Amino acid sequence: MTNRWGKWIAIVGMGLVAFSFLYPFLWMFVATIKPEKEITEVGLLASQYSLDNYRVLLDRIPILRALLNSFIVAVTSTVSVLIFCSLAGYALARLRFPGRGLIHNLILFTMVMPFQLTLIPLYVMMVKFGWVDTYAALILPYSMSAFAILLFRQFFLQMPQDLIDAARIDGLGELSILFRIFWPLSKPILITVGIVHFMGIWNEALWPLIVIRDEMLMTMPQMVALFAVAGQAEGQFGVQLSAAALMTLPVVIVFVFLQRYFIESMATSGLKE
Amino acid sequence: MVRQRAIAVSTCLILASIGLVLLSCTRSQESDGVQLLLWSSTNPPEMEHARALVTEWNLAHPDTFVTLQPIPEGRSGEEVLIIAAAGGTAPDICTNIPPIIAPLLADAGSLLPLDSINGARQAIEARVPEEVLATFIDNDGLLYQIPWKGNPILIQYNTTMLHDAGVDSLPQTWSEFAIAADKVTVDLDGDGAIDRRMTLFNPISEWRQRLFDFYPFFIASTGGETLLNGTEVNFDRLETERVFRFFQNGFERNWFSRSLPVGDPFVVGEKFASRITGPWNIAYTERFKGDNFEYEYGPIPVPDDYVGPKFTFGDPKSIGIFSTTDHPDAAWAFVDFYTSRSADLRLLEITSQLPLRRDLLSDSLYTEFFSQNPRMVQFAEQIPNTRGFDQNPVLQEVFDAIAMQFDAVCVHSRRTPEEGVEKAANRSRTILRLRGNK
Amino acid sequence: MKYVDPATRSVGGLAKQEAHAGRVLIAPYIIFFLIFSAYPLIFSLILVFHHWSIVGPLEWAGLDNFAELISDELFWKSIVNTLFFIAIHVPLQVVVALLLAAILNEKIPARSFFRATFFLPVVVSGVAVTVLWKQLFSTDAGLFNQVLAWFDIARVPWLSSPEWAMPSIAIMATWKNVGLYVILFLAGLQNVPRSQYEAAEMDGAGWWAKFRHITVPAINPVVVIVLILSTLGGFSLFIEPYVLTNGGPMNSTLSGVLYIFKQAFGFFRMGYAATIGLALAVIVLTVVLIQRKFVERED
Repeated sequence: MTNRWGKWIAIVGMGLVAFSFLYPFLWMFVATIKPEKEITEVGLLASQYSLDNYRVLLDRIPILRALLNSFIVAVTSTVSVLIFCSLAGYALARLRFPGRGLIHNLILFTMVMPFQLTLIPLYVMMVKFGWVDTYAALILPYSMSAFAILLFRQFFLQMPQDLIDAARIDGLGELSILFRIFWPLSKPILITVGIVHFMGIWNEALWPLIVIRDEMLMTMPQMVALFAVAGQAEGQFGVQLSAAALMTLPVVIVFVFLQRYFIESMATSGLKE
Repeated sequence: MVRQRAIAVSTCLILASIGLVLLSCTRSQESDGVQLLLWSSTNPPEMEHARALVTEWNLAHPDTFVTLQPIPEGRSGEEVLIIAAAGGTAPDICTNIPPIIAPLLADAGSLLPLDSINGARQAIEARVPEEVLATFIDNDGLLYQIPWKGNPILIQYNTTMLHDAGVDSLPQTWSEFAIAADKVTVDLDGDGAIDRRMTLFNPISEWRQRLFDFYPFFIASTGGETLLNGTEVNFDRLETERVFRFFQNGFERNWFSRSLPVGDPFVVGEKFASRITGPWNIAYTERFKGDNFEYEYGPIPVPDDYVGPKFTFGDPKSIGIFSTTDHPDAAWAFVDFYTSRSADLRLLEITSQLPLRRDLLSDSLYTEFFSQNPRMVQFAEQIPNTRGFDQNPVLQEVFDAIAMQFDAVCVHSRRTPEEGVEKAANRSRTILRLRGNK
Repeated sequence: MKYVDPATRSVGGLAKQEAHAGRVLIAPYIIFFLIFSAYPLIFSLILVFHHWSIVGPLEWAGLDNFAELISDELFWKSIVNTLFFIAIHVPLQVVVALLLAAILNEKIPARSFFRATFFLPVVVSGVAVTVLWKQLFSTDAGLFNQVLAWFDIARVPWLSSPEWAMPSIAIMATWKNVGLYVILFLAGLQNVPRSQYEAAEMDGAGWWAKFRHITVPAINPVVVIVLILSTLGGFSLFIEPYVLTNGGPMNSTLSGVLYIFKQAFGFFRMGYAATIGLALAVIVLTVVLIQRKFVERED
């Protein structure tokens, strides 16, 4: 009897917690279509709904361009990470070459090296290279990742050696072994690395704030953060929220469809970090 | 092996693309005749103004071609210029130099001293009011910037609201301000929350905001002093403590809000009876105000025992010529044209910002503009009594030291004004001693 | 002359080929490492001994930057702020996540719905969450204070008082990240076979005994992860105070990274900013190492 009651209390409690996680998002989306004077109300009802805030937003900042930039940057760097880090991971896991141990240690070292240490020198480097305000500054520093290499290495270590031996006898080169034989068997790790890296870049705000100041090259998080901080929104809160909503919507949609992969990937990477 | 070569090739490709990016960033420099690159502020009226003047110049001077570009805008205008100077991508001329970073650029040798160009300094001295010009001169006695325009900071009052609260004239002194503020500040519906306050200030902890609360009041109550005197602290004085106390009192009595309300609570929300602002605000107010919204501009209130003219912060902007230019004389000729009588008329008409010139109200050329825009007269009258920034590379840090104490003393009442001023002054002295001397 | 078996010779050839392939495949990373890790690292060690406004030449500073750092109130304030953040965030995170995970571990309906819901803020950008919470936290018209008013609770100055601002940010960070830890705890709990609990019950173990002897060991590694990730998170706190408070009120939300940002891009002091970065890096590594040692000893 007490157990049944306990169960119901747990379910109601969970429902309330879930509500506190969902309602702010729901409220945000609805608030963006409310009139400015009614935005601060807790409920979702308003005297009228309109898309005016979005119109003002699109008028004031090139937010769609920022969306495109975010996409370009995140896709390019993720593809680069998948290719180059799997190369490195494969080399470290399956090929014997002089210096392998040293390089493995270097990678471990860069993983524990806090980013605060290299932030300023990296920025200075971007200035001296003339990369400030270029896609290069956004993509290249994220074109590889020590963490991804280690994940690939760990995964590739578990592959049977027979696969490689057989392929070599068939005359396949190392690249073919990696991309034609290993990759098709490595979907879980490709998905994990892909999602984790993509989300990391997609949500990154600090680095773009440092190296980009041309509006046409800004990514979403940077543009929305600047928009919320600077006076461009002219204090109109609905417009600021619309910017945040535009940034959230694609993520929510993708998450609804691929939530299993998201949760598994981020949990795996969380455990290994 | 073929595949390994493929990797080698792709690695090379990446390196090559890095190289290409590098190459594409170096400017090509082939031309016949003089070519000048001009950077202007990105805000639309200023771009329009710059475009009109550049077009006119290029028609009249086929031998000196000026190319106009908007400044890539970012976190702050300051940083963009510093990076451009550091990365070797600075233009020849920039019309949006914040005077606060001119000393830093000058120290690094990035700005051209105008004294090195024949006739330039004299022309500037003839145009700019003497006392205003004084704050633009570097500690080495040279002038690295052309003081161009200003936006005197005044207080914009919602007179409808003042009348409703029983206030019939704009406060001139702190006591008048206090009486008015106590009348205005009320909890209308009795729910414990203040619904109407006296003045909208942005209390966020950022020194830049102190340019729009502490600094104008400091300038006004000291009769036009600035924070530094050469490389010495000049704000370690009674007036500073009194300004701190004025704000502390205001926050304690809820005349001002400790948190920045969302939205526009002055013109749209009508929850504040006044706000501190410059002339750029007129157009905005006209566009968004409600039907019964009446407004007027008043001076920065001064202590009751203050006698003398009313001073304020002028929020000035300068034009600078970068030392990397190959054509300093041509650049000056263009700047001279850009700050000429007729150019300044256009500046008024297109941007509603005020040129820093002596004869603004006496020159007949501008009479018609001011008769058509009566609200601008008050700002123009203020121009000779505006102050800008001391020329010291650490001035921002001095402002920051004051901002920290403003936060603790005025907004949060955690310290006495005396302690606050002393702490700010000591911190500033340390900064000046370490890095502020040339 | 030693006799060499042809088979070995060909293996030797293969090994050479393999070594060659290894070098080629690792080459992109080496280039990446040299440009984006090694060079900045070395440059940072040069920068800390210089004054530099990024325009103009580097000026030798000797140990000036370090001397200034040691006596810099604001730097120490930022460290204290970070530790304060961690002190609130970690226990809050562990308790809430553990509670939710424990309930999710029971057979209740709509488990995967709850799991996904708690995870949603994890995937949404921190900037979006911060902009949203800026409104929720607003003193005058924010949702939280309106809801509190229904219960006759006085307004809380969430972001405008020096005492509340950092706890507010910690609460927001917990809401944003807790979903990840729910999943991690859940994984830990699910590793415990149900039979172990049943066996304990047969021995007459109560709720607390079961929790202490079965659950805690199972989730201990996750607590370590929470500790380490929250420490790293605390020391890299940036966008939340940048958008919400700019480090105020009274520098109560000034974080280490925000202070670097302010010195580098506000005052153009690259040498000093790099010095703060170096100090932060040393502190982060030390704290994480101590945590690891401490937790390992516990096991």
